[in-house]
Amino acid sequence: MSSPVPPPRFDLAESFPETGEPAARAAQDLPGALALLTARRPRGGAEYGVALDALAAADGLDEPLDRHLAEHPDDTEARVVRAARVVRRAWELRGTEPGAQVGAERFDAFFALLARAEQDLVRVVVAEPADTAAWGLRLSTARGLALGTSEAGRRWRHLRAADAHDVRAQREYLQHLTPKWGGDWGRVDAFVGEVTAAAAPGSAEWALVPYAALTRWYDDHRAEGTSAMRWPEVVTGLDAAEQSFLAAPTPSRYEAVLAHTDFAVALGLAGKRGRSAAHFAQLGPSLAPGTWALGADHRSDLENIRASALAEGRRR
Amino acid sequence: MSVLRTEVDGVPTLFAERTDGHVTGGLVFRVGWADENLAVRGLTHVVAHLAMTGLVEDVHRYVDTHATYTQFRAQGTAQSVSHVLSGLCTAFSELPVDGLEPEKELVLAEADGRHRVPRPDALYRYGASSHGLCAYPETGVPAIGPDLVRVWAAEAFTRGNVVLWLSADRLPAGLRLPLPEGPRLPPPAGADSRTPTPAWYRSPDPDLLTVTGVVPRSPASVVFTDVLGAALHREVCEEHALSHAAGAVLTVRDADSAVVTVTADSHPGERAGVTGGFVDVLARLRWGALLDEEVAAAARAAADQVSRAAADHETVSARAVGELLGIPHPEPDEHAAALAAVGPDDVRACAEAFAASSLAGVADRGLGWAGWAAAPLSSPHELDGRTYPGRDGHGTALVVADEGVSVVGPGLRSTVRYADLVLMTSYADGGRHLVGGDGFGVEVEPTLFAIDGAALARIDEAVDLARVVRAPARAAQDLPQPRPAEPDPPAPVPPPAVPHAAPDLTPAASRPGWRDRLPRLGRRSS
Repeated sequence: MSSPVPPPRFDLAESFPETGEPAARAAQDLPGALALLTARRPRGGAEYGVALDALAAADGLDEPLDRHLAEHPDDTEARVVRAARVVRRAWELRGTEPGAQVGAERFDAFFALLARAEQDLVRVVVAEPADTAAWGLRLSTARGLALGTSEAGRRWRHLRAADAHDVRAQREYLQHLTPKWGGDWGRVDAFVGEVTAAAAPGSAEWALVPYAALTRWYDDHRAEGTSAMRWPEVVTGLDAAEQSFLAAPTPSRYEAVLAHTDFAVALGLAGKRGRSAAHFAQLGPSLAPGTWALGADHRSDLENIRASALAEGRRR
Repeated sequence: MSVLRTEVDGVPTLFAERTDGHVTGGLVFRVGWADENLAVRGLTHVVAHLAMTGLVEDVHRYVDTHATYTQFRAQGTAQSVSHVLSGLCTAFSELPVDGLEPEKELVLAEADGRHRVPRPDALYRYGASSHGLCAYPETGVPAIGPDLVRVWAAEAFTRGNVVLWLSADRLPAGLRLPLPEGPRLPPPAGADSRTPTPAWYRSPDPDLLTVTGVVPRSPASVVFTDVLGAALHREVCEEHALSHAAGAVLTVRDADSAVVTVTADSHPGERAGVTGGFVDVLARLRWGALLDEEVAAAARAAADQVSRAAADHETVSARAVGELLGIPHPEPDEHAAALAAVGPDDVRACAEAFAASSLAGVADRGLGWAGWAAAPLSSPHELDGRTYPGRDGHGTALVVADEGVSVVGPGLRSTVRYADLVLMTSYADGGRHLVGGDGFGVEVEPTLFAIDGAALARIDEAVDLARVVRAPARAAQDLPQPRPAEPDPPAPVPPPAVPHAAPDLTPAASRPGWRDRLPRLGRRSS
């Protein structure tokens, strides 16, 4: 009798327990937790980002952070953590419904939270212009506040000047360039081209190709089934990107989860079940929640591919 | 070459020697449009024009009216310049009021030909008085009569209220300045912002960011302005190519304060990036990585500029204005040293003052996201009184109360209290346009509201006649008509259209309260 397929594990801190250490320590020792977080620099690096996410989600830190910042207003690390918590709360409040279904009152509260986070983030980036975590959060606030592609572009260029290969920030900026946030698909394609032109073999940046393809399919074509994911130009792009991604080991274990999830879902929808399964096998129980959600109505099919991949892995 | 301080015929005088044979000179009076009120807006300009009418024609001379001073200039031979300056002084005692109507026409024609730049920033900061009057056209000109110009000349164009400056090979011998006696006027009141700051409003030109803020007048404010302008230019023009032109300028407002004005245009589609760039640049000057060298370079540049400045007629004219406004003017070496001593902490203090007092005209999403509050688009209260429904059927109504009038409706609330009235344009066709000191206005129009003659009479009886400007009946096609659509949001201003009316022919002195129409200058109890 075969054992059941493990449920998806979306929390990276759970997959990589060492990234949860700052959050685990924060309630008893906030300065110590902040020091642990700082030790995971470079800011915006994948491990730092996962640790920051865990701190952003931890309970009971708002008052200690406020007190700490009242005493240490120049502690930019604490400001980043406070802002990350507020940004997370803002997006949770907004939910994932289309804008038309979000009432004015909820939008007002959403904007107010993002504006509050901006107050901390601007102080961080002017004190430490190379803080990519703060710039990355500012890309998120800019999108929620609907500041437009001009301001998003300015923020992205500041971030890029510090680290052109920040995978999470690239995805955030790509969202700004889509039509629903004021851009167009031509700008998305150009941005993906710009990123991959500078990406090393094995880099998770190659997964921006499936991420962009999935985003476009989800926004414009999901009502038509999966045919748009099988268009020749889409498949050709996925093939080339996958080849470059697999050409060398991925330096970051955390970014690898993002990238493998992108390829697994995109190739699955494109009908390349075998190659999709290979990425699911690499992921094991881990999955990146954002891309998984893009699978939309086809998640049961993807779950089948994933189940067979994980079962095959166990038989070996 | 230095500027010599002396006295000519009892008038403080600044003299700079020049050797090219030319003579330039000027009289600067401590009176400007910020001393007026809306009902007599344009009075200083008319008096200045009138004083010039009797002067010889073959001398290059002109007059500029500013917020807090009025400057006459003449250029030519020593004799002709002396003749103009003496003639002007004489004219203030004997204004050629027979020429008043043609001069008023000229003043209005000048206004027609001038491109009016909307100044919502001034309106939000000062309301419809003092420095806020620059947001309005010269509303009072049509109703200005001979008595008013005589009294204004006697009040403001006096020996105690003027500084003479000259740039010549020597002081002209025997120059007489026969001005009436009178003291120096205090600066205009009302410099505090009426709108809680920092605040943002929607820019009348969506492609232009304009931000003003008040800083202490000091060497640090000069350096701060330079650092701010240069940093903004670098961010939005050079590094991100969002704007063609961006910078900051400093305008001295009075002895204690100066106004920093930031402007930045935007390339198509880049407004939000320009606004975001400004927010970040200002934040950096307050909290961020402000480089010592960045400040030092700006301080050196400002000091060099002061050291290089020649004692030409522009310099001596500017010093005369400073002397008149009570602004100390140190010697160039001393001034340059003070500028060179400005450090990052001084610049940060200016940045804090600028941010706290800032009014930002922006497009699109406003600046709520960056901590600026939206400037109010409605009066804080509506009055309780008799209600006259609007004729448009959309719920708009006029309220006539004992203490003032309100217009209310969906998303609309504008109130003028009679005690705060600065202007009521009274049309012979029954229209009454009231403007309050805060800049909010109420247009009482019988064509728009079911208002009767008795209600109009109540308003007419309640207002201060000194604030009333009469205008003739408008043509039928020019009367406002009920709109089928929703009403526009209340504008906290709308500078009223210039009532280009024929002047009220009623002799001013025969109208009650004519003398009270004068701005209250806080001097001379009569």
